[in-house]
Amino acid sequence: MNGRRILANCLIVVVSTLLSFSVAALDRDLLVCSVCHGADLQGNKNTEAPNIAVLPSWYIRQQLHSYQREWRGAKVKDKSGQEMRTIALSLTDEHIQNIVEKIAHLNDAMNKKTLYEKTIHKEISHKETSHKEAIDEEVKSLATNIKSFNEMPTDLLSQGKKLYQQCSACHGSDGLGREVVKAPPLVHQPMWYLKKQLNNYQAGIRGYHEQDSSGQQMTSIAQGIRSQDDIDAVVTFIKTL
Amino acid sequence: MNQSISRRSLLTVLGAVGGASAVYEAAGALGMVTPVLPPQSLMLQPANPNKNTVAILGAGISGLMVAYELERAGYQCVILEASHRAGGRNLTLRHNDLVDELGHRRRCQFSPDSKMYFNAGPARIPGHHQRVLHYCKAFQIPLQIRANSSRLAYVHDEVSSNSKKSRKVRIGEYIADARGLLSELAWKSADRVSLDEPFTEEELESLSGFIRMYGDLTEKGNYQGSDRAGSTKDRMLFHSAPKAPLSTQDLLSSHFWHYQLHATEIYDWGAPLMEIVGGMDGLVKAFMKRIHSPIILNAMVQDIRLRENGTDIVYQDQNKQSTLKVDYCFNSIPAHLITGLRNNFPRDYRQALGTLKRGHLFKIGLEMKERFWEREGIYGGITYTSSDVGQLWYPSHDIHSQKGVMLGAYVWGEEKCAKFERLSPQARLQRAKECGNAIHDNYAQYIEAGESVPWARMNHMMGCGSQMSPEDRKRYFDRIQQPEGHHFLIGDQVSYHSGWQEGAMASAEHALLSFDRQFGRREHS
Ligand SMILES: Cc1cc2nc3c(=O)[nH]c(=O)nc-3n(C[C@H](O)[C@H](O)[C@H](O)COP(=O)(O)OP(=O)(O)OC[C@H]3O[C@@H](n4cnc5c(N)ncnc54)[C@H](O)[C@@H]3O)c2cc1C
Repeated sequence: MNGRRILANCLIVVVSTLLSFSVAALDRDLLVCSVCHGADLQGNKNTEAPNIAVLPSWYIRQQLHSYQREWRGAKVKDKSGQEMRTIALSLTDEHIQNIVEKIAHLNDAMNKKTLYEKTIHKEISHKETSHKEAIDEEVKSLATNIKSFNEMPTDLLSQGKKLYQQCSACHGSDGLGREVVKAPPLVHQPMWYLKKQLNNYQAGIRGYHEQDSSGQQMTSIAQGIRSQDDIDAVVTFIKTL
Repeated sequence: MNQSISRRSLLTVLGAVGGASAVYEAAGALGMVTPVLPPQSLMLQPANPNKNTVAILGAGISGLMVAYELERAGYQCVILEASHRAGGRNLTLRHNDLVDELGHRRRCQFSPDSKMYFNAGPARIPGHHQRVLHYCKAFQIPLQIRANSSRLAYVHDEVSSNSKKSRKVRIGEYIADARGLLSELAWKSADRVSLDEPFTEEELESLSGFIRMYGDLTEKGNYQGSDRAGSTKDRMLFHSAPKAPLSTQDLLSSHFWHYQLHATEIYDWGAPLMEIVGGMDGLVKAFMKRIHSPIILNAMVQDIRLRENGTDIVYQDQNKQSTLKVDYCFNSIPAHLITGLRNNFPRDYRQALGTLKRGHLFKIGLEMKERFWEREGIYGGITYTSSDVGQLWYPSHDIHSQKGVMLGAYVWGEEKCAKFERLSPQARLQRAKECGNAIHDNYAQYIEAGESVPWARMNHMMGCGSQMSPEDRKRYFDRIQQPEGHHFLIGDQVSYHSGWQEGAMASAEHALLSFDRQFGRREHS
């Protein structure tokens, strides 16, 4: 290769990662997703990409089809939806099948990895933010008056809890979602994303298509939430599940 | 000051100690003209043989520059690049090149002719971008003048105020009439205003003389059109007969009035500008030729782990994942993508990275079978339009040859770019044709091929011209400019000039110099 030193000659150590802390290599199709959704597909606020690593197969399939059918991402105001729609349209059914399978696989691997890290590699994560800190960051990102998760006013949480009652009918009291009623899991999604989607339903840029029955149902529920404060309350409460 | 030290030699001493920015500040403080740095090599200290491995993340301009400089100082570098090509946003498209847009991956349709190329990213270099020019000179990269403005190009408004019809005038005509209008106003008020003290008779006369010249007014201070904008008759055979001036209303209602008219006053856009002969990626190629370290393409960084004395980088190369254990890391990955990678950055660093937001830029390049613009007297420069395409650029190279590639759209900002980003590549071209047809007769018929590049949708980019709010900049810019352990963030994102290669190089230089100060051999041996 035009005089370039080959990697083997280099002093840099290249080791197989099996011994290391990362999960297995991503499938080609998932690698594309990871540009925006992040290396673990766990979402990235700066590209407005949600956590897709935790999504069940049926939901991923359903949403990709929604994008393809103009049920989602076809409205001018839904900019990130439009971005996603472009990608969804470039996917074949085989791609979708592969993505769905590989994400399910990844899910297993992630669970194992988390266990592994917790038991053997504690020192690696010593600098990482704790779960609580992470929630704190999220709370701040909502740009409300709430300063931190710990200082959360109890009435806000109880308001959230009250509001969540109607959500729990489909998404479950554990927030893990239920396929039978086409309700996705909510607990692992970042708060900014939940808030944005509720706003999108309210604004009629998601769940607008008459054939999208679960979307339409969400629209009517979202429109029942009266204020941004209430939205903050409910998405904050979801984090406590 | 010691008399035996001349100002210039003092600057050289400062350069060795404090780097380029010290020279820059000092040159200003010494009262010399607006400082333009003399081209200068970075003189990094030789690497410590026991601690000399470096991973460079991203092979854009900043990554390439760091690799080149560190390699010269004896470091062992590996460059990891997620894309199929090096260069990052420095992208020149030619026949059959891959246009790696997410969801619309395709090949460039231009004909296989070396002159048919499109600078989809950087296209111009001003004379004061000395870091960029330093490398162009050192690598003997041929440059040519790129005409950034032409008074014969057009100002086009889709709807003019009174007629409700679209209006197209030559830029020269618009400028002459705009100056005429302002001069008339100034003339009428010159003897009534005073600044600190009233003007003396002589000053007033001098001022009036200037105002007349500025706007080409009559003796009595009226503006009746100017042959600065050309003539309705052949100026060689007849006394020139200027067109009637545009109405005040027409001038004031044009999109050109507020902003674009003044674009060439901007320091980075002041004539003459330059471009690299044969395409701006000449700079990338020149770096690639001189860098011997491995540049691993299709290698997507996934995890960055800071250690006490180095950094571990996990990347995926095809279907294989590998870990690179190095002493130092220079990272040019767009910050809005870094926040999606696994990492163990401290919280405040991560927060600071999160304040860099995606910018939006959009360009269309059109291969034209005839250089029809030259028949309209346009040789280079830019037409400004209120329509969606924003700007049309005419090439100033290969004048009078048969064909040429022109810029059929240059769009900035989220809202305006979104109008194109959401369309398919074909639909974008269709829109470009419609807009162009309103400006040039038979425009669409000249188009043989076209390529659009929405930077906020390009793979591994998802944005250009990163944005930081003024408050965030105050709070976090220093934080990202400082290294975190052995990890240095680089790229135009770490400059006050994102969207310019000079910003990318300035950040690389800043990182290299602080790296050298902190870890250079002299201090550790
Ligand atoms: C439309 C447009 C017009 C412009 N006009 C001009 C101009 O006229 N003059 C001028 O001087 N400049 C101009 N610029 C700006 C110039 O292109 C940039 O300032 C410069 O190229 C930025 O270089 P960089 O090294 O900072 O970043 P980049 O070029 O963005 O490099 C970052 C690199 O990181 C890689 N990467 C991303 N993710 C990963 C990952 N996970 N792992 C590994 N690698 C990764 C990317 O593929 C990329 O190669 C323009 C830019 C655009 C888009």
